[in-house]
Amino acid sequence: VNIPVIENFLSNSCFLILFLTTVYYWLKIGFGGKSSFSFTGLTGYGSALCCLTLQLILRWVDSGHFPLSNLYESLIFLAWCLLLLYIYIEVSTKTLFLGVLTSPAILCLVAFTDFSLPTELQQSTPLVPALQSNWLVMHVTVMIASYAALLLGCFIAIAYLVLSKFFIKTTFVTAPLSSQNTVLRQESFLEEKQKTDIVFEKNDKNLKFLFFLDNLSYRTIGIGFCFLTLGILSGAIWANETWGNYWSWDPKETWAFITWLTFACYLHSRLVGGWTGSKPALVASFGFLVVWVCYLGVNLLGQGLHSYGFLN
Amino acid sequence: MQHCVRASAGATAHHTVGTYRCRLAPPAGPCQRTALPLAHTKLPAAHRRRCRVDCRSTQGPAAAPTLSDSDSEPSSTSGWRPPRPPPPPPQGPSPLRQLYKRTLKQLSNLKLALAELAVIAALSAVGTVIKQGETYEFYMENYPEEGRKVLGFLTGRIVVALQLDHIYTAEYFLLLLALLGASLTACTITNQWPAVKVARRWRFKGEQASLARLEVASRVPDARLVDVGRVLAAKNYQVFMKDGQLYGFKGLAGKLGPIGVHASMLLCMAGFVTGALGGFTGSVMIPQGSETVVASALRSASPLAWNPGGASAVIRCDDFRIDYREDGSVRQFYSDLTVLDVDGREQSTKTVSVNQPLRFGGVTAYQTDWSMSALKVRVAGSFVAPEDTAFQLPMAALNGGDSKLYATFLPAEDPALAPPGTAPRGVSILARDLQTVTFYDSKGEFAGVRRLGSGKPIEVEGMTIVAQEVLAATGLELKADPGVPLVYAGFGGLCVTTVVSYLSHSQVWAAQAGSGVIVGGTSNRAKVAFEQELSDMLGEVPEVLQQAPALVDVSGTGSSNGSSSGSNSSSSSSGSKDSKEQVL
Repeated sequence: VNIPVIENFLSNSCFLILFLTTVYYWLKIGFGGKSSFSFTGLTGYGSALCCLTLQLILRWVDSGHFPLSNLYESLIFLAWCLLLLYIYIEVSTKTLFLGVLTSPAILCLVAFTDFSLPTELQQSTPLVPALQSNWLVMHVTVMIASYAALLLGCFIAIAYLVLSKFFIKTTFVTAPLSSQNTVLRQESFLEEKQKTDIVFEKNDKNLKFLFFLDNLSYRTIGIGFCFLTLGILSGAIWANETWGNYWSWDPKETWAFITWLTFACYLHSRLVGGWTGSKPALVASFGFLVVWVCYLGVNLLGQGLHSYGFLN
Repeated sequence: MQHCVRASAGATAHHTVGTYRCRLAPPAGPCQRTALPLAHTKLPAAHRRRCRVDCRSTQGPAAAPTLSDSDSEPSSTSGWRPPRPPPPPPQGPSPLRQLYKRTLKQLSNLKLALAELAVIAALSAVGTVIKQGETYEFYMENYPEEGRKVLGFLTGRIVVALQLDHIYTAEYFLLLLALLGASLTACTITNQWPAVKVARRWRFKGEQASLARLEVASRVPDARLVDVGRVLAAKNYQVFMKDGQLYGFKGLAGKLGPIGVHASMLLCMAGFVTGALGGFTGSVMIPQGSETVVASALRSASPLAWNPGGASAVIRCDDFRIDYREDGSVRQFYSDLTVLDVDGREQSTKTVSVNQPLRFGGVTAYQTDWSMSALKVRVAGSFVAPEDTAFQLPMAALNGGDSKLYATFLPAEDPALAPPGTAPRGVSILARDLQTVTFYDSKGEFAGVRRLGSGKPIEVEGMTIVAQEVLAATGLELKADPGVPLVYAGFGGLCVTTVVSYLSHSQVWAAQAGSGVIVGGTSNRAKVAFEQELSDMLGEVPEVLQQAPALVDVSGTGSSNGSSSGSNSSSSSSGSKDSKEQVL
């Protein structure tokens, strides 16, 4: 059983499946009209998820340690978490539109992982002594899962910002307030715009969708923040067990802390400040960049306990 | 003047009655005389603020018992007294208390807290861009004064002056963190703790107007309150009913969670401060076979630190070895350590490796480093003695960048006889790990590589050398941190409370209105899911048809911002309940 060959086959087929899924979603939204929800897209996601699972298991068997020790494996795990999270969202909300946005994103991630990373970084290497601990499983999985949830939530928030520019134009037409139930709920949601500035195109379905996106990004970021807290804490405890220092202002640790502060701002602005709509979405868009710097930027550019020195 | 005992909650506060009547709860028993003087300023503070003393006479049916009920009084308290002037307004809180309250209010401001978080984040980011803890020359070199300045203005002098080279221990950074801690404390005191008290006091809402103003409100026609309560209880709500009104809640932990988050963070901060002030730290290299006194390696973090018990212990390194893989990389470092007490008795022994530290007497020893201290060789033909002799050559570290490189020198001639200013002839022996050593002759040319312990000799500079073993030294990091239990407790609390904070605290109020029931509710987290859940639950309430259907007009509840589930509920409700009206 030639494991590298099978791995190569799996990563290529994952890419192909995701590509076909992307095409399917775009065609369905572009030309499908008012078609009802179907499970075809989920089949694509599910098979991609299976490919990645098999790849991770093979790497685990091959190297003898949990498959999360270098950048390549963590990127695969990130894609795996994103797929799983997205499948859960699509099953529970039964919305096709999100697939249009997320399938190309995951496709790009898998493409970067498989085709752009140098092959020497893709090899599974044995663990250095500091990583030989059970905390590896706990800390790294929770951190990657949190990145997945935060990235997905911020991505949805960016989509919200873009779509809200399309759906809400500024003309001086008063909206018919009395007949639409959902409008009343969304009034506070659109507080930052003047009522006279709003014109409703294609009735209120678009607004309902925007509200749904807003709410979904909030909930996803909420889960991500919870995982991020657990991940940072488990990392601190692990560091204390290994070096006696639970916080050493290592660049990766510091950027994880900055990410945590950013999303704490986001959550407080929603919960305590009562913001809804585009203002928190702007904070979330900024948070999107912060998560990428924390995850990849620090490793590729900096030094420290977590570095790979890729671009040094 | 007579005095009444305020008979409530066991309070023994006395307040004067006489020609004044306190509007608190009337005394339960007969009035008893006390020897308290008459002035109103003797009222306890709580009463002073809440007791609306009015100047009416106490004659009346609910008045305190008159003089005739009491025992015989001294003559000064009998007879008619002119009405007293109105009492002076109660004194406000002292200026100190006012200042305290105003400070609390400022500190618990959300915008201030968000600004603090943002500034701390920005300063932390600066610390990752500018390399921390380097020498002055490093900053002068990398942030030049002349030529192309970094960012156009950032020179080495500015970096050092603004303490950007050690920003995480700079005073302004620590002050910011302290300010954040103060904001957290203030927020807990002013907002969150009172909210707990409010949350524990459930209140019924009976009026239809207040029910209709809730976020999610609807009217269920032809239903009984008791059925609504049953449905709620089946969905794990705690339900209270009284007088045709109902209150149910679920997930109270979701309201208490955020308080726990802030409290845990404060506990962590207390642990950080304790560790920063009360801890000891140090590192030590112990060659194989040697021992060291722990206290000699520990440095206190501040004058406030107290000595851990383990500081008087002695650590002896019995052995140090490195487990190598086939490709030459390190699998693990192992040190056999023995802890001896002051009198030399062995206390404990442990094999320490990178993720397995040694703990004794409040001190923890971590395996973090290693070095080579000496090389054991057998040399035949040296200038000391021609026959095979054993030497132990001390090794020194060469600055080889990241990887370790150690070297030693075996002179081929007596160094005292070498001309001054020149190095004696000899063999340089280099080692990068504990597996092989490399030999170089006097001219610096490569002579050969030998595996340690193989016994294979090498001929260099007229000597036959067998490299036997490298004596290594184990590098231990010693730490005594009294704040760690606090920090771990804070971490544990944070883990639990962060998860608990995601529970939705949902509350439902209902009241019987004629033949139907008006239901309203709020939720602090998953609002959309709560709406859906409520409409699903109301769909399960059984329909109870009355003989004479009562026409209850609930449309007069006025306009409200509370929206209902709209089309969602009517589409999702069960078939028997498709005639639900929505209260807008």
